[in-house]
Amino acid sequence: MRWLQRLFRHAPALSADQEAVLAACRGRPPLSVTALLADLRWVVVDVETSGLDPFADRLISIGAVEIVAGRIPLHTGFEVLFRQAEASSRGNILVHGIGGSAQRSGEEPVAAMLRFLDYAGRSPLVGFHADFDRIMIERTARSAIGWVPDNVWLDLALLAPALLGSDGEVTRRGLDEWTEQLGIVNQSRHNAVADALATAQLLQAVLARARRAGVASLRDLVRLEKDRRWLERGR
Amino acid sequence: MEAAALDFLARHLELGYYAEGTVIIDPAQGVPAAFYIIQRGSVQVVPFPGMQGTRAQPLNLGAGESFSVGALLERRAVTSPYLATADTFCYELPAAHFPELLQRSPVFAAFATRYLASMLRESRRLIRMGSSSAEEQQAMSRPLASLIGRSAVTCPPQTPVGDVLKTMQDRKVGSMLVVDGAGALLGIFTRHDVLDRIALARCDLAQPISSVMTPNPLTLPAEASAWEAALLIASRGIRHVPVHDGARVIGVVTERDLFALQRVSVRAIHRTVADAASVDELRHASDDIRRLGRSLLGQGVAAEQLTLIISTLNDALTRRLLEIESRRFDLHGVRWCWLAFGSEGRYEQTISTDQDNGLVFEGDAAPDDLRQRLLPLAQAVNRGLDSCGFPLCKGNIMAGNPRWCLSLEEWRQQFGRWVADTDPQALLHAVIFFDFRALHGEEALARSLRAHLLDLTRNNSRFQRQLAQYALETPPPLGLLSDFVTEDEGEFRGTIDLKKSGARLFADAARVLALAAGVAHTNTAQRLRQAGPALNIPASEIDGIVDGFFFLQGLRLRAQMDMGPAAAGVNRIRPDHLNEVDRRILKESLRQARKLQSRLALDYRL
Repeated sequence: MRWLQRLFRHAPALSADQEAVLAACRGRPPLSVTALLADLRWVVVDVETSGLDPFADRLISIGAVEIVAGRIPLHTGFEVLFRQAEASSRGNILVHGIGGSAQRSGEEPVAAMLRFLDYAGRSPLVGFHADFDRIMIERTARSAIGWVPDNVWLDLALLAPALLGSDGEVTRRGLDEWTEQLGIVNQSRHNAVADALATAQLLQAVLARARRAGVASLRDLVRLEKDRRWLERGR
Repeated sequence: MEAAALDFLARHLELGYYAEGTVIIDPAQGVPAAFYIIQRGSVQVVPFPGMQGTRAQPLNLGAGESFSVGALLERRAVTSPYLATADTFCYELPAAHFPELLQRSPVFAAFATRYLASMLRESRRLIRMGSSSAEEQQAMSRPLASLIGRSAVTCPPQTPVGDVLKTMQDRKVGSMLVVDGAGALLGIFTRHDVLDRIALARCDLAQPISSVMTPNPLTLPAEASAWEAALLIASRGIRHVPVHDGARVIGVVTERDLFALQRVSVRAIHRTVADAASVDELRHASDDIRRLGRSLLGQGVAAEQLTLIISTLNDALTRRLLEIESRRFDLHGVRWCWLAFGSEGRYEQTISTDQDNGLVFEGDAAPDDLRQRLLPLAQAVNRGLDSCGFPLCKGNIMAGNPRWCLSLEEWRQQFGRWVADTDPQALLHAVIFFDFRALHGEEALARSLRAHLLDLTRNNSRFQRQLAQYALETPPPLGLLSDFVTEDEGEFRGTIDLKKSGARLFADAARVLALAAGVAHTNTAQRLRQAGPALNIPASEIDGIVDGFFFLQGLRLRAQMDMGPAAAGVNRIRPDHLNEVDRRILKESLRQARKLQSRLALDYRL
C-alpha cells in the first residue's frame, strides 16, 4: 500500500468543492510582466510561524492586505489561522500571541490554504524578507493541496534600500527601522495582519519612488530586485 | 464620533501614500476623489488670494486633520493644490461615500456645517461664480504684484529723451517710468508716444524726458487684481498701468500681461470698436464682446465688474455706431444726446439685453422739424444695434420711435405727467425711463433732465410712495416653511425667475431710495451705496444688500452663458440644481431683498 500512501501524500484528499476552487486558482490567466506598477493589484503578506527554521517549523497564520490603484482598502485585509495538531512552544507564543487553544481551533489546512490562494489570485506577493514567507507558504501549500502557486514574489528587504535608501547604503535595516523612517504606525507588531499593513505602507512608498525613478513595469521591478540580490550576495 | 459611523468609516477607508513633494489634490482634477484624513505626515495648502489682495498664509495640516470638506460638499474642485510636505499617509474615504457619512454621523455633519458656515462668510466676501473652474478663477483675481516680472525700468525727469529711447531699446521695454529721487512716480513714457511726441513733433533728443512724458498717469496698488487693471485699460484706452506699493512705483502691468490671462483682450476689443469704419466691422466687435464676457465669467470676474465691463464695451460700440451713422445725416444746428434706459441705463447689462434707448434734443427750429431730421439717424442706429446683437425693443422703447425722440422741454413735460399720473401704465414707464443716462452727444441735455427729475420727485412723497408700492408688488420667492417658492406649473415648473423676482426687486427698491435721497446715479449698487448714508442705513447693511444683488446677477450671467442669450427662460434657475453653498447664498440674497422691501414698507407705511 506504499504507492497509495505516496499518492495521498502528493495528492491530498480534497472535496469536490475544494477541487473546483483549486482548479479555478490554477486556471487564472498569468500576470503580464510588462504590466505597469500603477495598474497592478499587490498582495502584501506576513506569516507567523512556530519558529525561525523555514524547513522545520510550521505555518501558524498568514496575514495579508492588498494594494489596489495605489491604495490600501482597510476593510479587505485577510487573515487565516492554520489548525495545529499541537501548540507551538511557550516562547514562540509570546512572540505572536496566538495561544495554544487558538492554534488548535484554527482552520483545517486545505481550506485555509485555498482561502489564501483565492485571496492572492495572480497578484504579485510581497513581503519583508519575503524568502521566509515564500518558503513557509509554498511548503504548506505543497503538503496541504499538492500544488505550489507560481505568483511573482518580491522582497521589500531588498527593494526598500534600493529605492528609499541613501546612495551606497550598506547597512541592512529591519522592517521597524524602515517604518520608523516613514512614520508608519504598526498597531500591533507580530500580528500577521498588522505587520502586513505596515509592510504594505512601506510598499506604497517604494512604488511611489519607483515611478519617479523610471521603474515602470513589473519586469523592471523584478530586475531591480534581482540586481540587488546579487549585490547583497557579493558583499 | 458615533460607533456606528466609525464602523462605517472603517469599512470604506483606504490608505494612500504620498511622497514628499507630491500634490495630493489639484484644482485641475475637478471634484476630489476622496475625503482625506491625514494619518501621518503633513500637508500644505496655499489658499487662493482674495479679491482685495489679502494674501493668506499657507495652511499646514498635520496628523488627524482632514480635507477637503468644502470641495466635497459643494461638489467642486479645490481652489488650491494640497501638497505633501513630508512623506504622508492619508486615510481616504472615496467621495461616493461622503454623503452617506454625513447622513450617518450627526457629529460629523455638525463639523462639516461649521466648516460650511465659515466658507459662507468667505463666499459673501468674494461672491465667486461656480461656473468657472477654480483654476481659471484664480487667473484674473491674481494680485498685480504677481504679474510684474522684472523690476521697473525708471529714470529721473531730467534724463535726455535720446537716452531714454536707447534704454528702452536696450532693455526691450515698452515703457519708461519717470520717478523722483524717492522712487515716486512722476510720469510715464511709452513706445506708443514716440511717433507723435518725438518723431512727428521733431523733438530735440537732448530735451529732458519730463517735457514729453504723460504726467501723473493712472496707477494701481500692487494688491489690486488683474481684472481691475483690465477694467482700467478698457475704460481709459491705455496700454500700461504702473503699479505702486504705496510710496514707490514697483513695476508696470501691460495689456499684454493681462492678455496672457484672458483669451480675449478687453483693450483689443475697445480698439476694434473705436477703429471700426462700418456697421459690419462693429458686428464682429459685438461678437468679441460676448466672447469676452463669457471668458471673464469663466475666469471668475465678479458680477459687478463683469456687468460694468460689458456695459463699457457696449457703450463704446453704440457711440461708434452713432459716430458712423451721424456722418450720413445733416444735423447742423441740432444739439442732441443719445439716452440709454433700463438695465443699460443702470450699467447692468447682462449678455442678453434688448435695446432701450431714446433721444433728447434742442435747437432753434420747432421740435417736430428737429425730430424729422433726427429720426432717420435714430432708426439707422436702432437697425445697426439690432444687427450687432441687441434685438429691437418689443415695447418699441427706441430712439427711432417718434414718441421717444423728444426735445428737452417735451421730456420734462413727459416726466412731469408720469410723476403726476396715478395710472399704473405711467408708473411702468417711469421705472424704465427714470433710469436714463447719457450715452453719446450733448451730455448737458441729460444732466439738465436729471436735475429736473430730481426736483420733481425728491419731495413728492405721494409719487415716492407709489413707486415704493410698485417695488413691493413682487415678494422674494422665499417660503415661510419651505426653502424657495418656485413656479408650480407650466414649462418653468420648479424654477425661480432671477430677473423678475430677483435682481429687479433690488433695482426697484434702489430707485425709490435714490429718488428719496436725491442721488443722481442710475446704477443699483451705486444708488444703494450713495443713498445709504443720506437715509441713515448702516454701511454693513448696504454691503449685505449689494452682495446679495450681485450674487443674483452672477447667477443670471451664468445661466445666460450656459443656455445662450436667445433661450427662453434664460433668467431662470432651478434651486435644486444648485450646490449646497450656492443655494444657501441664494436664500441669503433673497432674504436681503426681503430686508430691503420691509425697510421700504416701514418707511412708506405700506
